Amino acid sequence: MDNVVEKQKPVVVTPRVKRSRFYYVGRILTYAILILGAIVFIFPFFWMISSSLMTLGETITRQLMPKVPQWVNYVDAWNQAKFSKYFLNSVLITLGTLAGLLITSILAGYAFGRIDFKGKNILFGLFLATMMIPESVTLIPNYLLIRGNIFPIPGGTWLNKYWSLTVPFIANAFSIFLLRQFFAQIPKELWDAARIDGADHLRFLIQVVLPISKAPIMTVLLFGFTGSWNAFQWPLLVTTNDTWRPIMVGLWSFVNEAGPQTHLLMAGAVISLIPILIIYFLTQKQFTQGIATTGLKG
Amino acid sequence: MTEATISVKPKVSGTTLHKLRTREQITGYLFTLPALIIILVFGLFPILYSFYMSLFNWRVTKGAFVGDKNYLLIFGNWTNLLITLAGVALIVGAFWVWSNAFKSLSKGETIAKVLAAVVMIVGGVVFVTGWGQMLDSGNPSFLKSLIVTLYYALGTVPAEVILGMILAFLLYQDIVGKDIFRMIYFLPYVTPSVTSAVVFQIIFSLRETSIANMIIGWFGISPQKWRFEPKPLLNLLGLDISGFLAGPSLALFSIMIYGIWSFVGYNTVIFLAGLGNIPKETYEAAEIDGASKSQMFRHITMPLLSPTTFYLTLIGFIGTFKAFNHIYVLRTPSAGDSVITTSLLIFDNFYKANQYGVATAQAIVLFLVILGLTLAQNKLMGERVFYG
Amino acid sequence: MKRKMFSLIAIIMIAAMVLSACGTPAAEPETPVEGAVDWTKVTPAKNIVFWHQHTGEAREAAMAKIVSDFNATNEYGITLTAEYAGGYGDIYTKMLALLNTPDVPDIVVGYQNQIATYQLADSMFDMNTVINDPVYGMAKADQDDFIPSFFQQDVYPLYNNQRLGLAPNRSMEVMYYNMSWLKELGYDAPPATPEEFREMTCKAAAQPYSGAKAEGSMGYQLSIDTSRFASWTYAFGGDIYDGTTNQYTLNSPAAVEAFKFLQGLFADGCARLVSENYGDQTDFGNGTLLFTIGSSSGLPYYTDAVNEGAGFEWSVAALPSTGTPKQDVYGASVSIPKSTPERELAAWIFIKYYTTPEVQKLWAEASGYFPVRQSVADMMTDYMAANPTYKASWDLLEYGWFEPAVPGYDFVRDEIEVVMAAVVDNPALDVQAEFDKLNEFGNKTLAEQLEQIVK
Repeated sequence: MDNVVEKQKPVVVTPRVKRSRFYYVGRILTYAILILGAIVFIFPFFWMISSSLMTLGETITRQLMPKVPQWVNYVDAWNQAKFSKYFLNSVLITLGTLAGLLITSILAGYAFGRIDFKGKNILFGLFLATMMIPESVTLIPNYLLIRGNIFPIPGGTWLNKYWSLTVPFIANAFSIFLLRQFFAQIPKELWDAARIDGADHLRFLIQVVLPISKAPIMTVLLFGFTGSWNAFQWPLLVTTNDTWRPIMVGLWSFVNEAGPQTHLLMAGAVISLIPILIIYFLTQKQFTQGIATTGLKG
Repeated sequence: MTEATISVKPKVSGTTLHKLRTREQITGYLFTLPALIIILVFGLFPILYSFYMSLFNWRVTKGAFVGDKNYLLIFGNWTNLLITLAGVALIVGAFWVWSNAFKSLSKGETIAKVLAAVVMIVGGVVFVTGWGQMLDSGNPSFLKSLIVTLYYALGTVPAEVILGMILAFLLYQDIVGKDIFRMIYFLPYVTPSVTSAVVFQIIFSLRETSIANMIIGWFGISPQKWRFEPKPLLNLLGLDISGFLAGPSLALFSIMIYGIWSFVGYNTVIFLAGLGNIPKETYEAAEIDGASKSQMFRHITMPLLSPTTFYLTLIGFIGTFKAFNHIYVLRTPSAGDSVITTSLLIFDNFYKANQYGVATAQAIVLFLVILGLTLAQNKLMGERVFYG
Repeated sequence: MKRKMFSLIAIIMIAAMVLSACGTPAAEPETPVEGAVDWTKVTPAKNIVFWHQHTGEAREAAMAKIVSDFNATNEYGITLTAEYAGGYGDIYTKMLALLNTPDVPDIVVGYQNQIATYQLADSMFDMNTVINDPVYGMAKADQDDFIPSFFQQDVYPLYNNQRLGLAPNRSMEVMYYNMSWLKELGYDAPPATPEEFREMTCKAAAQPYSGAKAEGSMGYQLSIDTSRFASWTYAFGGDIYDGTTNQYTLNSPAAVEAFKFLQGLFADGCARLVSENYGDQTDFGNGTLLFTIGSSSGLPYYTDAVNEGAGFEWSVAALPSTGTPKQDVYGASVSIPKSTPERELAAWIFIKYYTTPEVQKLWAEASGYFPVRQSVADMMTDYMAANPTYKASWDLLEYGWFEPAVPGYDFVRDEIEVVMAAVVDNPALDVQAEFDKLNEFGNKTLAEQLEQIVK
């Protein structure tokens, strides 16, 4: 660190600033906007939760609030939609996908953001280009792939197997793009210093970059989790029995079956939301810590 | 980059430097290898296979090789396409002339502006001619769907990015209940569209008593048919325009609101991550130097947030062009083709009409459109991104 | 960068094309093995798979029982596994990718137009090769026990009258009506003709039901669905498809008249569109909607809706028609994708079992669908007595008619729905002109699809 010369900031005691009127107006405005926005955003959920606690009769007669909260709806929905089995499947699938996603995205994001290698831009462009094709046409070629129709794959076919639900999703251009943006912003001095200490890219990545990149990595985690948890078109295609069916496919069939039973449908929807909210809380804690370049100044 | 630094570069000989560079290259490739394999197999292969399918008269089974017939069904003939693309190129060229040409001459700017205007008008005329011919001899539904997709993208992406940024900024302050607010704004994104759509069907129902109708009732507007209404929004507001400038239908507008509601949370979370990446010290230093809050926003926050903004705008556009679920669950036959985006059209052609060849050709064209737009965005915005 | 990227992509594409041409693309038809199979030389396969779309406790329990009974009692040692493979659309998507490959299920549910699409690839088993077989066939008495229109529905003139499926259940389009409200309006029976229908809907729009549990009143809500298009056309004495010329007749005088009629109802405020999923069912249940038209398989849901809602007297009837009623009958059949003779035979054996009277009774009572055999109806007198609305629908089956079983029908359905929706809401539109355009579109689509048939 001695080789890096920088402007030294003297420690200054800032005098008490007299809070102008603008400060309070600004605060009130801020709260007003946030609350108004929150009402707009949460209103549909208010309706969802309200309906999930109604009886069928109350949904038929279009009541706004249930007279007596029907918590039993949640139990009913859970049983009818066979959520226990599907829940476990979803957890396992998502964990596996996330593990792979983190590895591939961090490595590739770092490479694109910080290493200069030939053909880097073309490769990155290629990655991004693969995200530009509508899903409806990629379903069938990918389906053929995982059945081993295009070239032989280990295991013969991945239909109804764990691998078809995880492997195609362990790399994702958007995650790589996101991490690339963040990794590129890391000051060059950190790398120079590490290189002098004898570190190579891998060590730098693990020991320096990762600890200060909690926010973007948590973001990748959060969205990776959401994407995997909420996926349903592909899992629907590659599972024909219960073995690895994930929760959204279960919800989908539940929607088809329970259709007119709004109260159960809404209960099922709320249940499927809860895990994501938990992950959200866990990851968002990292955000509030005000990540910064802790190693730089000293 | 930060201020001038004096760094000591270790002295190395030529060959070692070369070896270091090669090692660097290899590291780069190795790092991207895992992702590369997966993306090539599951991302690139379907595109290639789709291209392959588009060259055949492929219904449920592979038919005869027809070369570019499926593509001609879209444009009419290649000349039409070339004319349209020439028009686009001219318009883009006009921007380039505006910003770059004749800088050195004395009256350079004025000449540039005049020339740019001329080129733009010519380009516009050429474009409209080409487009008209494509409408005549090609597939008007496909072309209309491109416009609908464009409306949807322009209507949702800027709103989502701006709202996301504002919300993130507000939520980054010291607010009471900040965590709860963040969760509320994030909820719509994680709700599966099969269930949130049911809710929006009810909110935007055409009954007089629906929420949406009640709200506009407060402003004295009569109940509308929302997602069943194929008439352009501007017409309903009283402006008598038709054609492209009439804009999206009320039905599409309702779907846009649903889209914005769903994705603002995503943008907010990512902006928050971006804000978190800006060192507090930078703000403190500026404050000591006497900068005002708005100056700090303009000169610190915005530039340091620009990689994030760039990312969100780019994938926002890609996402809306590909968008399917949100539109699928809210579309109605009553809205007609005013809500049929290109991805919906492709889906219908693929699964309902079994026209694999035609659908994949359309998908490849959509892919190229998205690619073109992305490259354009990259050029326009990419250079303004500041990687601190 | 742009240039390099394009050349890179171009190179890869060309390479892949060359490689793909060497590979095995999906759904290429194998040369079908011609000639009759001697079934006595074939041993039925031991393990077969059935893809279905049934959900819900009652149906799943019934299906489980049927399957376990079959596995326990069949004399060939066949074990069937029934799998929920998604909704009809999902199964359709999966099948399209698997046609003519060994990974097809042995039995699959499907609508007739979906089967017609599969058959473009000549991928379905013709049951005619085994139905009259001396050893494995179905006795003539049994065949005659099937309700004729149901039995015929799976014979495809488009494919030389091959039998590509068998019906295990059916349902029918019926008109649900609120009898209590009708009485309040001064009537003692549901409408038999369109004029009566009009009178009643308009009166109801103006005079809410006294026992309604929610605000508002409306005579009829039209759901935009091709089956409504079909049944209203039938109600006015026409048809939407001509089986002899194999052409759509979407612009028949009956269809035009039917929709001018509906246009009028809308313009006068007596009818309007359904505004959200199951909105008509909900409104019927809470007493604010006098008539709805929908599938008889919705009976259990309507029963719940009314019981939990306004609780009034109600039933179902044939749609009001200008002549003899013609009721739209529909339902998925079970079909056998082509594979090996062993698997096909085992699949056939299960299908025969599925359509035996006892199994039919169990299935019908659990699912709310109709059985397909007359003798079963006779066995269900208790159930019918307990469910008078079910009996009322069953009695209408003699008037059964059905929609075309042609490939690409789903695509035409979408267009029909767009035109339907535009026409009813807009009195200025010329129904005849719009339907003429629609018919042209339908026939053009059909012609394109038929080009693909493997001769």
